[in-house]
Amino acid sequence: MSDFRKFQNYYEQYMSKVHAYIRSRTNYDTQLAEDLTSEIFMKALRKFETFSQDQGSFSSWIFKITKNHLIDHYRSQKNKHDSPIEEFENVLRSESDTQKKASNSIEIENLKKVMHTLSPEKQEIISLKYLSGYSYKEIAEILGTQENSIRVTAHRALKELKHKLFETDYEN
Amino acid sequence: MKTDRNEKELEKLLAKLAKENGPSKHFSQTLLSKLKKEHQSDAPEKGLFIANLFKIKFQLANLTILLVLSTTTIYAYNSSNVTSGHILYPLKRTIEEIEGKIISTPEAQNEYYYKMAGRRIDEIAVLKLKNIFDEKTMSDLQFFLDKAQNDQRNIALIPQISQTPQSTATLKTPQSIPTQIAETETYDLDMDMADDFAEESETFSLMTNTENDSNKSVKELEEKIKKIKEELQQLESEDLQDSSRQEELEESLEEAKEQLEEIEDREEDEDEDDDDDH
Repeated sequence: MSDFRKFQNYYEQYMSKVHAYIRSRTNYDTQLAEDLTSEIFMKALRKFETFSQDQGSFSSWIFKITKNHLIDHYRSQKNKHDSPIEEFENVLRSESDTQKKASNSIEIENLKKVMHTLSPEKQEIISLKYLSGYSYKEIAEILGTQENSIRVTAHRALKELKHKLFETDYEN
Repeated sequence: MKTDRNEKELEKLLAKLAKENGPSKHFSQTLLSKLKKEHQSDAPEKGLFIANLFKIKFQLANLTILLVLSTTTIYAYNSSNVTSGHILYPLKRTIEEIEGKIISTPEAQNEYYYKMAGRRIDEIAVLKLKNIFDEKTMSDLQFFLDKAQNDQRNIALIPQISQTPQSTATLKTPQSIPTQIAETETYDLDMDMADDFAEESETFSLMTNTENDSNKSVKELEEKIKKIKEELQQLESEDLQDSSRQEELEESLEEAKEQLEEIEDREEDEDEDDDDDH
């Protein structure tokens, strides 16, 4: 099997997961998530020769690239001052997102908001498990912890979400 | 119960959010084609790498062939077992011919003829052991000896083959390259040819392993003696009081005279031996 075929298999398996994760970490900005996903997979393709199964699974490898790329992105965002055109584009984008938000159910929007109130660790696990579709084993490998610990944290995060969404009047 | 309902509700919401979070089909396909293009733009370098690898393999194959050819050539040229009838014999003779063609001086040419004669003798010896008599090799030997003989230059040392049954004889060329012919039976080389050669040529000597190596020719010694005498005369005529130099010269003169006498004595002995043999 050629190198690109192998890469394509991995792409088909993990692209949606990576995209979902990025979207959840970029305030559900679709355009930004797509841009970042493209950049991440371009990087992965260029570095694919360095990837070997002996060093770990593809999921942890691509997640490392994703995490680093996100960090670089936010770092550059801090230093960057948008040009007037870019600022205008950002406004347009946020307006279209707002429209989207309006069409989405209120429940989904509430869920997003509540998720933001969780600790970073819990947010990460909920994003990886429920939005990206990684298994507990994969998440443990990605984050470098024990599977049991991940399960426990995920359970606590769900409990907290449940409590905040249904058992308290969150909107108020 | 309520807890279970809430739990299910939450899971449904998370599933909905996950679906919303997923990439569009259009985006997936567009990105995949971009990645393909990116890979293809890198591919020519890999293709070049493969082409280079093929080139390297091709070059290695060439190098191996060259190595085999050169080894074969060296063997063919140097081995006396490569005789007339051997598959590599034409190659050997071709190399010898090329060697003959690149010679520039008459002295070198003369040496070449002796060398070729020596090589033919080696081949004859090998063929003799196999009970093969090859006319071509014999005629080549004759050819080279004639060529050497016809050389107009006065070469001091010309080799002669001495035949002694069940003994070893050494053929020495002017370059002192010995060629030993080991015999277990009578050597059928035509000695008349060598004798004729000896009669015609005024200056030749038999070189064997028992001879002293007299590097100085008669002529050289005579010249040296002449020079020393001249210098001595000069010293006397100029009334130079250089007794140490005078002594040195006289000693050198004595030495040269002794060496000349030795050579002359030896030549006389050889002449006597030849007369006895006949």
